[in-house]
Amino acid sequence: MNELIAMAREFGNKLYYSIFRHRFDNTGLTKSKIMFSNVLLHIQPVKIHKRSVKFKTTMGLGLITFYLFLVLTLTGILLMFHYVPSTAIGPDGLPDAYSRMLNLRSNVFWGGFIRNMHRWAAHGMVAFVALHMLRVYLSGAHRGGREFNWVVGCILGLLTVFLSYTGYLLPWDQLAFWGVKVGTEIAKIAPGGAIIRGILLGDADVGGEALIRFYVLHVAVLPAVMGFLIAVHFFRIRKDGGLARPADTSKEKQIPDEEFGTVKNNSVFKAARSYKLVEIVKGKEPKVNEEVDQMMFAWPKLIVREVMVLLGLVAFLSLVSVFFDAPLEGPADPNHPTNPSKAPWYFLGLQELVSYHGFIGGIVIPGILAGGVMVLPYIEIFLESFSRTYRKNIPGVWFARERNLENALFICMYLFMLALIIIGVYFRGENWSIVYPWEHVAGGGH
Amino acid sequence: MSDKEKKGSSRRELITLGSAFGLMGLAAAATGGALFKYMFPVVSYGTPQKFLVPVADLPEVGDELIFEKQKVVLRRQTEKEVAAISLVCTHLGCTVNRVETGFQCPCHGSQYDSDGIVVGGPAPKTLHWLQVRKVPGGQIEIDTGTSLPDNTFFPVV
Amino acid sequence: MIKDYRVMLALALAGFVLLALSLARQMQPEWAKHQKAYYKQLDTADAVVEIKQVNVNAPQGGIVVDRCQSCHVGASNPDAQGFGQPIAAHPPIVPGLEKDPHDFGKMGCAVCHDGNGRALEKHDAHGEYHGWPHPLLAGKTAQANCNRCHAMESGTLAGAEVYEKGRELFLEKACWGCHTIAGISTTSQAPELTDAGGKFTFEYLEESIVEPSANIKNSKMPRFDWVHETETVEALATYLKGQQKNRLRSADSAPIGYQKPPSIEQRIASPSVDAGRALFAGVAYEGSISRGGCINCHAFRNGDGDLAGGQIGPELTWSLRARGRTYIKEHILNSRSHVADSIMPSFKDYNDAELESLVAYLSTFDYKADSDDGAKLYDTYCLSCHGENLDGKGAVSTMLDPLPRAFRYQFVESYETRFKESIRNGIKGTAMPMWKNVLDDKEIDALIAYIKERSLAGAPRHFTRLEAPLPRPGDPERVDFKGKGLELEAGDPARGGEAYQANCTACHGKLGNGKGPNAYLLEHPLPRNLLNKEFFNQPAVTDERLYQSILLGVPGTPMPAHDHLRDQTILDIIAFIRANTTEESVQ
Repeated sequence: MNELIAMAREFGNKLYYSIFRHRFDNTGLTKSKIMFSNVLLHIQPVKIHKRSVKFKTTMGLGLITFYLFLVLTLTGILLMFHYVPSTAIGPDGLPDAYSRMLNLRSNVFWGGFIRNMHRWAAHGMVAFVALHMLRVYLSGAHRGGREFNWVVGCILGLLTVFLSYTGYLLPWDQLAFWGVKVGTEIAKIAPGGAIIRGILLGDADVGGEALIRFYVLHVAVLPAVMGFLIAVHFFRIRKDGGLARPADTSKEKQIPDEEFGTVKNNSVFKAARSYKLVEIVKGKEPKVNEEVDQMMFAWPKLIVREVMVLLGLVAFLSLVSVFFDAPLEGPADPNHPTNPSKAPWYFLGLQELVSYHGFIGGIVIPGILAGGVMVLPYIEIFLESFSRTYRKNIPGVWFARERNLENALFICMYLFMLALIIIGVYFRGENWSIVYPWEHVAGGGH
Repeated sequence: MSDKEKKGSSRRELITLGSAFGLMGLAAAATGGALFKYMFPVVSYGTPQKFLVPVADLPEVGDELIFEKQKVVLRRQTEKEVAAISLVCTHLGCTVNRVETGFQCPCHGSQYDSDGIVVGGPAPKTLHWLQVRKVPGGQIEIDTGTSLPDNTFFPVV
Repeated sequence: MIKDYRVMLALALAGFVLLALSLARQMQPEWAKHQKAYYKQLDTADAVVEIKQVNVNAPQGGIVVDRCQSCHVGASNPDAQGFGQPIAAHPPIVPGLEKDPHDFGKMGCAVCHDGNGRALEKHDAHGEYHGWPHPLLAGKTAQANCNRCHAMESGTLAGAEVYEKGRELFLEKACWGCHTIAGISTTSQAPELTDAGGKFTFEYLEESIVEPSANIKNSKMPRFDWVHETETVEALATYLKGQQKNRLRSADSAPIGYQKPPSIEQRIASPSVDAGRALFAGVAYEGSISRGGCINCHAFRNGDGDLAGGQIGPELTWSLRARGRTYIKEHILNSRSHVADSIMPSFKDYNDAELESLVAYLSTFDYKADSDDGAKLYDTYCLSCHGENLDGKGAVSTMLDPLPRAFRYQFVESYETRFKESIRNGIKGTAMPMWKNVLDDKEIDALIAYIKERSLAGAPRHFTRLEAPLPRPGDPERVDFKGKGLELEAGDPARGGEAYQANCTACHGKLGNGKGPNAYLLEHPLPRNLLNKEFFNQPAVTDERLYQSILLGVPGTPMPAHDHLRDQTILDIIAFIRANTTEESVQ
């Protein structure tokens, strides 16, 4: 009998270790193994600085953006099962793509919910990219060797907007059609914009060709590019030494020994021992500086926090998606423009600017803003190199006093865009006249 | 912190963690089930699986009515009972012809008697007998997606 | 760590609950509740609750998806007659048949009732959301869609009485005079309605009939006096909603289920007063397809002086005597042959018999106000255009162009001498007719006295029109002009055109048609149409009058004085206007 139990135990052990290769005990070794033996977790370091799990360090904004990308990918794939990018008009007078939207809302079980989720997550992602960028800049995390990652991030941000914009057309309702139409009209103003517009639309105007191109861009090209750049973005964070932080001082509280766990030599790796110091660091002595003591294991604290963010996000998205339906208006009709015709909300600032002056509002100001923001860290480096008094490389510190001017300018830029968007969304009515929000009529901007 | 306290706190941790992951598992299972329903067709855009026949249009007793589009023969056995037999060959799905002796498949020569029982050829099974249901409004509904044993009759009056 | 785990647990719980909520809402759709209630009421035990989808095969290929009977599950079950909505049986469509030929199991609901056949929630399914082109047509208004399957260009279809009434009204109310519907009328006066049902919602059509400017701000369509009759408007809107190009039958296919009646291709062949009366009233005359409908816009008086008819165009009681037969006939065939800006439709297809019939009918009007009293005369002959207050805002004034004269005291004092001529001979190119065949001199004098008395009463001060004789070529520039005092030469149309573009277009328009951008802001009366040949070629409109009107302005109107212009420039402009309005010039 005992023999049988032993055999069963042996089988069980072999089975278990063939999958996990580690136990879930409280030793540093195990905590390390969990991190580096799991393909999902090994993207993160075994040990992180203890401030990395603090809410105020990142507010989870970048992570939320990434999760939104995952949610969008998942729901997007599900929606593809029920969608056709076709404008062919059926005998009921409805374009195919639009009929599919109606199906999602009616006979497809959970279809409405998944579409809501996709829609709201898409809007959320644009918003969180902006917030993430604001956080990075205000905490100086774009400096200290991370300048190029900032540029990668900016490209990711533009991709996000473009992804959202290409997806906006797919329902092929009035909102989508005229929103995209207005957006492409803005593109005409730019020098060479007409060529880009032609390549995007595949026709003289928004129509069936444009729908297929937008669809392919939306479901294949842009997500692939985005996925690659996300990998670059993450990889560089690792290689740049984790989240940006200022140098530790000896005054900071050290992590108590208990956090590192005790060694219980009961693993299959009988000879293994655990050390406090499990990584190679620069320096001449084992104890290089106090920073080592500020480090902690990523498992389980970081992972738990990350799961928490995911759960919170899914809960919030579900809440919104249960109670608020994604907008769907009548089928696209090129002969009946909506009044007002508004681009999606993240382009409404641009549309507002264009309404004042086509070239200055549509090209000069957004060009300066987008281009300027992208090379912002290099402007700072340039100033540092050529001026001895400009020394403002203070990574990882919120609202560093030395950077007050830069931060104020950046915030002003955000407020400027926000104000324009709010005016565009809520204060523009028929014929683009100024109205109060409560006099507002439906017609875009969602 | 005593050992006992430590043990208690770690058990509390385990229970909390366990229930959290349990809930997540439940949610994942529910999502999986919902996605199954998300993919499963509940309507048909082609010939519907079910179709209606008004009771007034039923054939005379002992007579048959053939629905070519739906590939069904409706047989009135008695005043009160009818049966519907599928005309789809159980061999490889060709449509069988109604002949004097029963049914004959033009593709590979399967032969059935008038009850759909195989009497020759490669067909492995009896022709499907279908579910017939009375629906409100003086109509019967024939469900071509069902497969019942032979000689299953349904009351229509 | 326990704190983190607890937060995680709470969040997992929240996520689970919300996920479950979303599923719960999906598990109890609206249509399932209705089906359960229906089967319960019928006591059916083994019924299956499912989406009832009808795929209607369209003749042009493809299917129309119709899921309406998922909720309206009892539509074709006579046993559900007394059930409440949405599970009640549909009432019979064709009256007097034992079994209605419409099979909802094959044709669904949305084919007739519109709405959104794919949707499964009431709000969506009835098409009550923003931008849905075909919201639900409830009740009899669904007859608009009989047209989708049945050929209804002519003849009658049992059960489509509202639609049929609408078609009759479209002819009777002379809608066809301005609007084209392929196969019924050909005119280009107003928007074509061949696909009105495809383009507009029922509500929009109804609204546009009742209040034409509700959707198109500068609509010229008159507001008819019958728009308060709800049934009339609804029938017309139903008929118009039925005009759609997207049909479930091909144009040449045989009509479903009924016989086309023999064609009635007759026109009125011999003139008669009765035929004229029918034409005037817009009703069919002895089976002919000739239609009129004058009475919808024009009124007339019977022998007792009672007014009947529409208040949109001028009253026709004296028109034949005032204008003469030739003018009337030409005006019917092409209203703009005499009045440049008339909005009256051109009935260009009328044959001689039809025109003669109308003239014969008009000649039966013989009311006359037997009185010498100016007030009585004014109320009879002038009131409908010039208005109770002599302000030119009479009941029929809004659709006239140019607008009737407002008798402001400045105008009356300035142009006293012109009055009698204008009344006697009319003003060509406008709605003002010649009254010399209707009124004698005594009556005209009484009228003038009455108008003078009323418009000058309470005038704030005495008003005298300056005199300015027309300068001739060779004369020097007038003295008050601070120019070079050159010798004048004959007006040059080319120079005049340039001067016109510089000084006159804001009101009179680039084309000179009196519709400049400022014209819409001006009060009564509107700028003169400078292309109105009839007006400019009458003897009363002399060069001197034009010169004075430009130099000194026109009292009582928004036309200001232009004494900042050189005499030469004014002569050039007059030459330009004259060149545009010679009988040969092309408009």
